Amino acid sequence: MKDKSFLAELALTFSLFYLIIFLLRDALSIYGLYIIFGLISGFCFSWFIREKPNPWARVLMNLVAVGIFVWIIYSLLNSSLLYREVMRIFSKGALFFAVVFSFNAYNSRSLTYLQALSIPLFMCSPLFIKDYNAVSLISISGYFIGWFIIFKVKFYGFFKPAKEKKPQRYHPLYLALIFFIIILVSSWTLFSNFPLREIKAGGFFPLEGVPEEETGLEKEYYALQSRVQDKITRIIPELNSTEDRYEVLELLSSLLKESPYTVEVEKAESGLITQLAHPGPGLEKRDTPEMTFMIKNYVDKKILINLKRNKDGMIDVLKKYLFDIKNRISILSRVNKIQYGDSYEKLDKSSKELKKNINNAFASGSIKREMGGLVRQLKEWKVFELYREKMNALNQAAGSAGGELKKELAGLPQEIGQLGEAADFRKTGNKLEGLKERLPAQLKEPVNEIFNLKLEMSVSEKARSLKSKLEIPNLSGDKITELKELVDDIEDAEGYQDLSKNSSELQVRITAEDIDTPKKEIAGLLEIKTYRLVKEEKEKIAQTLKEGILPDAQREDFLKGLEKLESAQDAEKVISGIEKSRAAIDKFLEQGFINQGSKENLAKETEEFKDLLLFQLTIKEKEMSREEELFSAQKRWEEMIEKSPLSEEAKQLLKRLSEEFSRADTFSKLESVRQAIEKEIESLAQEPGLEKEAEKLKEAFSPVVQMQRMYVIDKSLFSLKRSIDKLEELDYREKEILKEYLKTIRNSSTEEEFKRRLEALKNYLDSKELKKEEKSQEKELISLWKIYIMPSQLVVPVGSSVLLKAIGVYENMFIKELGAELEWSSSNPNAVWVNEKGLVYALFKGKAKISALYRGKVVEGAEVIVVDQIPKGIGEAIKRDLKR
Amino acid sequence: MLKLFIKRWIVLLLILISTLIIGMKTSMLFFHFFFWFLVSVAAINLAWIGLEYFTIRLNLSRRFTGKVEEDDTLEIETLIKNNSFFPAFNLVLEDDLSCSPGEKELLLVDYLGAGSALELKYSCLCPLRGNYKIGPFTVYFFDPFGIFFLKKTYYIYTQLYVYPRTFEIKKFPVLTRGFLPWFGIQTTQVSGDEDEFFGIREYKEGDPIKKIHWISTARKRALIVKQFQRQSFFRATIIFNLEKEKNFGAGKERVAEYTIRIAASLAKYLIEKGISTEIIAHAGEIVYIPFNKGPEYLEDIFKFLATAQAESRVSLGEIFEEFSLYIPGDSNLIVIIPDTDWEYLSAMLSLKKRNINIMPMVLVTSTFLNPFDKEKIKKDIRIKISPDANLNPIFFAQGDNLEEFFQKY
Repeated sequence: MKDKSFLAELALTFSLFYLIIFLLRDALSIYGLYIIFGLISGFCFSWFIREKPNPWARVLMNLVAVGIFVWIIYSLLNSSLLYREVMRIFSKGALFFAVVFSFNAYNSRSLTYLQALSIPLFMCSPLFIKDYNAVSLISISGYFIGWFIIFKVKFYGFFKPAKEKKPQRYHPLYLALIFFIIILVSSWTLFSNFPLREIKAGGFFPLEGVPEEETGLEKEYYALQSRVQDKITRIIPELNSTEDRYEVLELLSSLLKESPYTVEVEKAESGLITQLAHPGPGLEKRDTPEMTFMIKNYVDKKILINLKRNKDGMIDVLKKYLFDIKNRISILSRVNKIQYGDSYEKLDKSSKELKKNINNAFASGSIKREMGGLVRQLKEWKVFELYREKMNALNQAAGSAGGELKKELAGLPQEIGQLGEAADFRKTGNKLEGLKERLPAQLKEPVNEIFNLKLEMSVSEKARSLKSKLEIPNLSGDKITELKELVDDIEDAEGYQDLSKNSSELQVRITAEDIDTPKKEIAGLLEIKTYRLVKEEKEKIAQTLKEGILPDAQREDFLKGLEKLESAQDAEKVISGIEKSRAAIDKFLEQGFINQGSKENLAKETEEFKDLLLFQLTIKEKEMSREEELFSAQKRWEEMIEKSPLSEEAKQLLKRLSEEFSRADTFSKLESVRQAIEKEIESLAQEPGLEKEAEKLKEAFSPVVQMQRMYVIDKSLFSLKRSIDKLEELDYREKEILKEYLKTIRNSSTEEEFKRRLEALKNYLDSKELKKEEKSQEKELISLWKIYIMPSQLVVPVGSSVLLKAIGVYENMFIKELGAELEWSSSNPNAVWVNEKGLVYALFKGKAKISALYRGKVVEGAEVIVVDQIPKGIGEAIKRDLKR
Repeated sequence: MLKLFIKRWIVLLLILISTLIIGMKTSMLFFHFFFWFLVSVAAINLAWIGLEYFTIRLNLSRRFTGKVEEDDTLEIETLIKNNSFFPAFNLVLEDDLSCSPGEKELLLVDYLGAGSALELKYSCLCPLRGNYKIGPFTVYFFDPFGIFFLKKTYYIYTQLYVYPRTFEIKKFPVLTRGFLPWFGIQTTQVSGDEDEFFGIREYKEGDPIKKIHWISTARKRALIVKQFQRQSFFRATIIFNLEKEKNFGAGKERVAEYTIRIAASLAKYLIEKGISTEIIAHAGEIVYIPFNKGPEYLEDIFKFLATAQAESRVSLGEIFEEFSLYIPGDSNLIVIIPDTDWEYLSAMLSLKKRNINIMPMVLVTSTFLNPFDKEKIKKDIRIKISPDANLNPIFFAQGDNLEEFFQKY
């Protein structure tokens, strides 16, 4: 009797653990199997040893338990200390303990402990259950039933002799079953009517992975977004010029778009504000202050939300990959510093530290990349936030300033706002230097900071535009990301070495890929980056000088000397300038103004400064376009003619011919002039005494010819390309084919080849002519330029419905609401369902993208987020609204 | 029961609180649900046991089968009847069995239909003689999951005598025969030559139906039986003193316990042999049970012996002085004394003149104090007490098999 109930209890305890292991299977992985085997052997052992327990077994068990304890502590120290991880370790450890205790289960007390141990394990299980399907629900109820039976066995002596069993004995079982069902129903009712939602997620137990609940910020953000969208779309038809409509629509779209680029947002913001502030003639003045305020507010929110998202993303990455604890804590604290910092200096410092942290972290390259990208974005948004903040302050200061200063300050914010190129920055920077003395003390720092912030923004903008240029369709995705990573590295470069290394690598890679080099963008990025580094270096030097006891005047002189170098146009000047300043530094040391350490630092810094300046110069050289090259070559050629000991007559002739040559814009003309010049030179060569001179001229002329040739080819190719680009109706594949043709033409080495290939292209285009026409006719029928689905983003509570609208913008700027011909579809019909009229029903919590099909054209549209509940007041208001 | 459950409730409460906290701190819906689940479990189960507690009326009665001596197992039968219209589930009946110290019998009744009854049988070991009050009944009403309970007490008590243990006496020394028969009152199984009608009395359990006096029964509207007299020529007086100061030993191995055991065995033997027996004893107060015979009389003696405690503060000599006159001539006097009381025996020798046969049963007290070297002590005592005066004392020591002494005669 006793044995029987003991066996039953062992079996029940095992089944409890089996269910828990099943529920925890995601956290345990393969360990689950080991634990099951361990438990089975443990219980079997206890069953066989129940009569004659061995003291040695106990000792051994205690030793193993100590081992497990040590293991738990070790794993905790090695873990991320995020709660899920901690829980995983604890539950694993608890299960190991259970295995150990199972060898002692013949002792009724330790069997009870085992059963009690299963309760906290069971309570851990929801952390690891991904979704509650039928199987997991069955195992959960199985667990409850297991406990119920244990209670019965323990207390009532479930196993009475068979003769005592009466049919009535099953009544209590039925009753318990009925009770279980009643309890389930009542708890479900309570659960759905009184949810414990007062305190939100993110307290002690932050969530991860699970679709995020809408936070207050997000709700506000989306509400504001829809308001902005609503107001502006209402204004658009009122605008009288089509260009304005175009522009406002474009601006709106780039404002609302979830893009990671801050400059775009900034441009959209300021553009929209200025556009809306100047209504067309004959229109009544709109409610612009409110609109401006709303847009500004929206951008503020956008920044906050992006900061938060980036931070969350970073935390997710940290959670996903096991960084070691020290790094993790320092990364998180730095991220917080960035998020809540209030000056550019601090921001720059902590972001640099953060990068260093990430690079030192024990993680794979791709994770570091991911983190780096997130850091960059976080920084970008923070820079944007700070920039806006400071700009507002400056605007206010400018408004409140008096006298002459007011005049000078008035234009300053705008001027800084419109900066973009390195040259502009240089100019404004110089201007600010001049202004510095006159600015009030409290404005000096902010202006400088705004300038720096803007510079930072421009750097990332340049990097972005370069990256977008690099997205060349005939490159593989891997190569594009490689190139982009190089661009990122350039953006993040902290000194001359990084910069030159990465930029040269980028150049090499791009030429290796045989693609059109986006020279302008590269040069733009490098220039602005170099400018920034130069500025930084300059500040460093100034800082180092301040350490000494140098008289102010001398220091100023020294710095001014360096500044002059910045605008130097050739390398020699730079080098000599640096030599001079070095001598000055040595002098300072001799005079005792600075100590040895500062001197060494200064030497290092000036070296870096020199390298950067030289690098800047090389960029300028590279930037020089082919046209300029040609121009200089022609100039050299003309100078040569001038210097040559030719007769005045011959000189005049050659000059005229070369002028003719430079003006040639077709190949045939070019060739005829070239032949004429060559003939002239040859004839010169026949004259005695001038052979050598003719030889020289000939040599000098050949590069000019080549350049001119390339120039003509480029020019014609460019026009050809443009005309091809114009053929919008061409599909992607045809574009590719044409590009291929153009490439072969450009690379042709002989004239014959060139002509042949050109002919081939011509033939190809002729063959396409017919189709093209057909297509263009078809196009004209629709001539729809773009379709917008409004609202583009929606947050709706479960059970409600919202009507979506599709607005078509035609080529002729005609705006019309599209109705019947649309076919709506939802990406997640389980959560959001959309009917044929565009009415969206929010069925369950989740996200969905609603897209529409209009005459074969798919319009990616609104993102609908269904949330559980919206506070009562708002819900009521929405319902009232809907009824109306 | 409370001890057993308090841990369970603490665990339940802890889980409830922790799920509430976890549920409020996370959006993991399982914890919200689990919290409400536990709340429902508690609420519904409590409501159920409350309902059971207030609606269910139980009728309980307890019966013992047979008489018990020390160290015997008591068989108990309890009838439980549900008098309400509501079926009872998961009841636990607890009987407080005071006869076996610390033991409480727990019985599960998992289902008791409305109006139905159930007989429960259980037993317990009674280690000590005495008069016990068995009861009360405590009924625990459990919820279907066995998590909570409510307790209801039924004050139903039953009197129980646990008689002292006796041993079998096979042979006994020759007794002195009296000249006149003594008549005792007894309902005998058969009527015989020696029996004569004595009177009538009320029916008691165990009386044969044959003896029912139907006429009186009809007249008195209660069962009446006839009583007969049985004559006896032998008479014996058992005298002992349960002196507190001389009650050496520990537990059941005490002088008084041995005395009572010997007295009970002797009384049983004598009365079963049809010898009129008288008891003179002191157990805190003087007890005098005059000559009589028959099983009812034996039961009276046993009831006294079951409850007798060593509370006497007087000496045997004093008792003897007071009661020596009542001891009839031509009879037997059985004295159960500790060896320390040996001096009083000489005073009793005077009874020999009246032809009273004195049979001393001597308990060697020092063996109770020092349980080693019993044989030597016994021998010493035997030598000390001279075997003159025609006395044949029997010496008992602690741990002796008392039965052995009554096999050789």
